[in-house]
Amino acid sequence: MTTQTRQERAERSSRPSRPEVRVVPPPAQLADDLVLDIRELSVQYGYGENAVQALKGVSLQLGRGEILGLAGESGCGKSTLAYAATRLLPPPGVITGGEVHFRAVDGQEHELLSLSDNELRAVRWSDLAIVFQGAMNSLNPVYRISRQILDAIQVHRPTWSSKQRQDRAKELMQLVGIPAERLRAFPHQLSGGMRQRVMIAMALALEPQILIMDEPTTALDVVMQRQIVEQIVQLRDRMGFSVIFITHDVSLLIEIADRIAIMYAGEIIEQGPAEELYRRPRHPYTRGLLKSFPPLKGPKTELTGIPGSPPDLANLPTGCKFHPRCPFAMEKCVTVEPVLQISPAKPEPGRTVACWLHEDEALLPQELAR
Amino acid sequence: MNDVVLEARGLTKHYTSGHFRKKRIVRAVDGVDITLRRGEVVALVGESGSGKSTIARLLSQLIPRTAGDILLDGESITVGYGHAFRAYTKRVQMIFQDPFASLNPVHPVRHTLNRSVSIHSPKLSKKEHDAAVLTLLERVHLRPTERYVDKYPHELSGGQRQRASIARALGASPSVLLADEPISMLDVSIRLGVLNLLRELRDELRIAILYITHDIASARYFADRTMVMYAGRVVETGDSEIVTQHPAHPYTNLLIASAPDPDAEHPEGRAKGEPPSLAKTPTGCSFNPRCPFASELCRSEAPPLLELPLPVSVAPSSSVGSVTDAAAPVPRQAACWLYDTTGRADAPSAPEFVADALGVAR
Repeated sequence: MTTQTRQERAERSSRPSRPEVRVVPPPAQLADDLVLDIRELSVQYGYGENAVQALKGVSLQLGRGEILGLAGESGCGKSTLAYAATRLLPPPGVITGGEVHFRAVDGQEHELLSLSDNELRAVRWSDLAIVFQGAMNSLNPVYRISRQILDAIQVHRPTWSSKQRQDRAKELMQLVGIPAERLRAFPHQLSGGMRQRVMIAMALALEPQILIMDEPTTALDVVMQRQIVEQIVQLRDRMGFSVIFITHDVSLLIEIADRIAIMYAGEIIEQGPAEELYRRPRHPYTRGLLKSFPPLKGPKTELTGIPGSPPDLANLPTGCKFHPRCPFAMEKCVTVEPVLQISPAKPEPGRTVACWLHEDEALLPQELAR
Repeated sequence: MNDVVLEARGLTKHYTSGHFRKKRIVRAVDGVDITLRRGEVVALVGESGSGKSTIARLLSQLIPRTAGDILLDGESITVGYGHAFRAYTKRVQMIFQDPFASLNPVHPVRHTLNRSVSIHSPKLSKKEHDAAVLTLLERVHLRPTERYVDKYPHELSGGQRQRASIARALGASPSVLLADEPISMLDVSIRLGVLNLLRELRDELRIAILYITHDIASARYFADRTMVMYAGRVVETGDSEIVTQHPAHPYTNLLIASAPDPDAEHPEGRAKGEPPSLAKTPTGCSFNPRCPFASELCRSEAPPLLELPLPVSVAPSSSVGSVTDAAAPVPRQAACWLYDTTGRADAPSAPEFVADALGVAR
């Protein structure tokens, strides 16, 4: 607990040093259909000269009932974004700027980064729940499942009777398709997929508005992954919460997400509706990423992946962070950093891209202009 | 074919668990036949716990087998430790899943490769030795070699590290490479680079490669032959293209239907059930509790690997740039009573995909 308070203190003290705003300032009020609005969020790991910029002014909106996919390679900042937005970032991570607006169930608007510890504690889990990476191992091995679920309910719903809590726990287990008698089981008696479902049940215990899932299926095999993913979509349809789904598997995201944001080196480089993004990628990195998954159906073709290595955050290239690996890199890419905006060459509603190729239709290669 | 380098027949590994009063046998691998040929990639696909990594360890003789036989160049071989083991590792090398853990962090790449070269070719002069180390790096495309040879593992990215460990395996100039999930820990964008490198080694050095993976799409991309495992047994084998495009076994069907594929239509609720505990496998076919087509026969008797005719609609295709002679078609087998031709009365009735797998309209 001490580490967390220390970290929160560090966050608060460092907040004034906000970087200059690059985009038109967004409206102070949260739009009606949004539940979460992340504005210009910046995160550093470490202090002073050795600090590494893990997130650079990332803005992201989450609509009500929407499944938002966050994709990118390891180290691109996708998990950092989720943890920073919920103020769960472990030290040495420091939030250096930005705002996170959130609308609670009662319609009240909160700015998560400026809430007091007590207010934050009330919001977390009941309004905003997280399923962590490797969640199967986040259950306590020495307690029965029932105790761990009841604990969470008891903290947030202290007025409930024991009977009410028990009923809720049983209801939750049925919700995720596990027989209620398995509440008596210890975590080791459940399979990996079942443990993951228990974690989802616990996250949903207090009917949150937002469910953040950090690589929830990476440790599972494909059959179990399909089961879990189907379950999440079904639960969303039934309960109407919003989901932020973080993964490196873009092909999985395209199937389940409504909207996808692709991250590279701490920035969002492309964002748009899932289907559109898959059919017509606009950023060379997105295109490369989609071409890195060998297809299971259709003609068999020679694929190359993306040349080079993912960037080292401590030693980032100048200009566009992707230019050393980009097949279409120009002179401008080396020196000037592109801005995430609606493509001037190919304007489409709801899609933004950060790439200089989109400045002029003449520059845009055939592959990215479809 | 005399191209066969390494062969396993009836390979079996049982572990015992529990106390002597409640002793249980865990059947990790149960009677698996594998043939690895020069210049051919064989993929072993299955979910976690299906015994695919155990097979890699058995073939590399890191663990002793319970039953069955391993043949190197047609001769049965069992090595324990010492000289015999070293001689065996010179022929059969392994690449591990986690390049972060399999390279010694306190030594630079040069040391790691030096050891590999000096152990497996001890009679080289100092000059030849140094040249050999640089050639290895050149082989795995870590160029310029002078820059990478003195790097420590932490200074390399995941893909570069995996390349370094491939170079270490090549230091022995092996005939067989056992690659245990070589790309699953790597970043998505560099996975194909490593697979293409392994394919190049197959074509140029004519190495036999066993590619272990849980990703059936990458098996289609990379492997010439694919074997699908379930609960310690091989349930289907054949040409990669045929196995992935016209799967015969209900489990392979489930695996392909579950794989993320944005273009495919996924009928909801197909994926059901969980893999069995290897200590308590169901009687009969181990897939029968999850199989929608299971009959009484499936619940009582385990199916043998049955020979299947090649579908006529597709010609057996070797993967891009393969050097294997396409003359001999890859035999196709599936361990499922659906393909029983002896006409047993209690055999399950055939669902639609069976006709597709057989390539004949019924």
